Amino acid sequence: VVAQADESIRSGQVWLPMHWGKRFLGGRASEGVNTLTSPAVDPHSHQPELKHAAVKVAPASLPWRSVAFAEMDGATIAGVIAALHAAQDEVAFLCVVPAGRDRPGVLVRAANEGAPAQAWIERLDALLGLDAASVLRYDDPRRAHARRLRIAEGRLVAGRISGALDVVAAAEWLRHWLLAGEPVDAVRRFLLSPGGTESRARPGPDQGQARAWPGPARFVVASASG
Amino acid sequence: VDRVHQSRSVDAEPAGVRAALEAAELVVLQEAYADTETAPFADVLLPATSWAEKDGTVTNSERRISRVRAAVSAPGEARHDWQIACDFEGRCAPVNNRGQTRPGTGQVRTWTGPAPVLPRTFGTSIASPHAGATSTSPGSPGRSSSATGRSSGRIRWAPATELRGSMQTGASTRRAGGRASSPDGYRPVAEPVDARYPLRLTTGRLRDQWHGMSRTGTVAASSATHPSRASR
Repeated sequence: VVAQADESIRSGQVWLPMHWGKRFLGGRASEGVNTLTSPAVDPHSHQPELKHAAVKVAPASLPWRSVAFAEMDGATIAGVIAALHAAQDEVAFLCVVPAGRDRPGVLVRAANEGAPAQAWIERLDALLGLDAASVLRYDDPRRAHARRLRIAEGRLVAGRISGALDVVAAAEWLRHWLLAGEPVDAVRRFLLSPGGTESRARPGPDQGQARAWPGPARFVVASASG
Repeated sequence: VDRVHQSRSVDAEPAGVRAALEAAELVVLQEAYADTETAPFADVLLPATSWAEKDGTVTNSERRISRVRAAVSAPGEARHDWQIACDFEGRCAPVNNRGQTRPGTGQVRTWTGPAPVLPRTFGTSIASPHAGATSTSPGSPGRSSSATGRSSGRIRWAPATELRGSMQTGASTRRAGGRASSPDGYRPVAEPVDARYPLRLTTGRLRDQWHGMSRTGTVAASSATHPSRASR
């Protein structure tokens, strides 16, 4: 899983969402949260001891990362989750959850030892509506870095960032435009920049969110291949 | 025939349950959703009504049995749990004590409601006088006992005569001195931390997430509290 420090967790403890199986927290290297917990059960109620297990945390070497999000009709979410579930063994780690309260969609996080098969990536793009001709594309095959962004009515409605951890982190600012649904005209020329954006020049309306952006971003003029 | 409770499902205890389901010669799954993690193991999937569709009872983890009635009609071929259980029983061939099967009676019970089933299952009746003593169940949508004239109270399984000590008094769920007490007293954790495994892992629910998320996991609006990353 992707670990994150959290002040609300007592020192010496780690927390995971209860019962998350391979449907939401899967991939080839994952059997779900409850493979980590103890099989011990209460002698009377037979409830499993899911609230305490002794564990260690070690780094996983999964240099290829991908983050993707797409708005979609709420009724189609279950089907997209099921389709990705069926193809999850192509990557070592795959977390697929619905996201977005006002504008429903699916959020995908994947990690793997290297870039997965191109067919798997194309399948992901197709499920998220990122395979249309109008989708903005950036590819740097040498670094396995790719961006796919779909804009509809001036808003960013779907996107995928794939590559090394640093390029995915550098694109984290795009999430604001995906989730907030604001017009992207002001940042359109940065959308395919493999670095970041000039966050100080154009902070989002939500100042708290703007301060949380990674930065200062290295700004590199993109030579988008498509 | 064994029933796999949700907390002991493929999500909850993957290794043991997976092995058992793979070894079973016949898996009959009674389930409200066809895409749960348990569903691929099923030879027969019997669609069941869920909350707000269901006529029957719900038993929570403190054994409290609530009467629930349908507020909306059942979708598709979904049926109530008691209907499925009765039909299933009627179609099973009886097995004698040497493991030999006798021809099934072929007789399907013709219950018309859940009430006759309850005494068989729980050894008590939902319609017994003490059942109506408690308030309207929060699980019975849009109905109250005064409006319908029917009992919609909650009772606690099992009756006092079947359990000993503190189990039926509710003491088992009370906390004393920060420790949950049980009929056997305090027990240490099954897996103490040590030098090799020095961290304590606990698992918990997100605000709008329910167990294996067969329902909540497909609704974007219930994911508002999902952390942006899978752990915290």
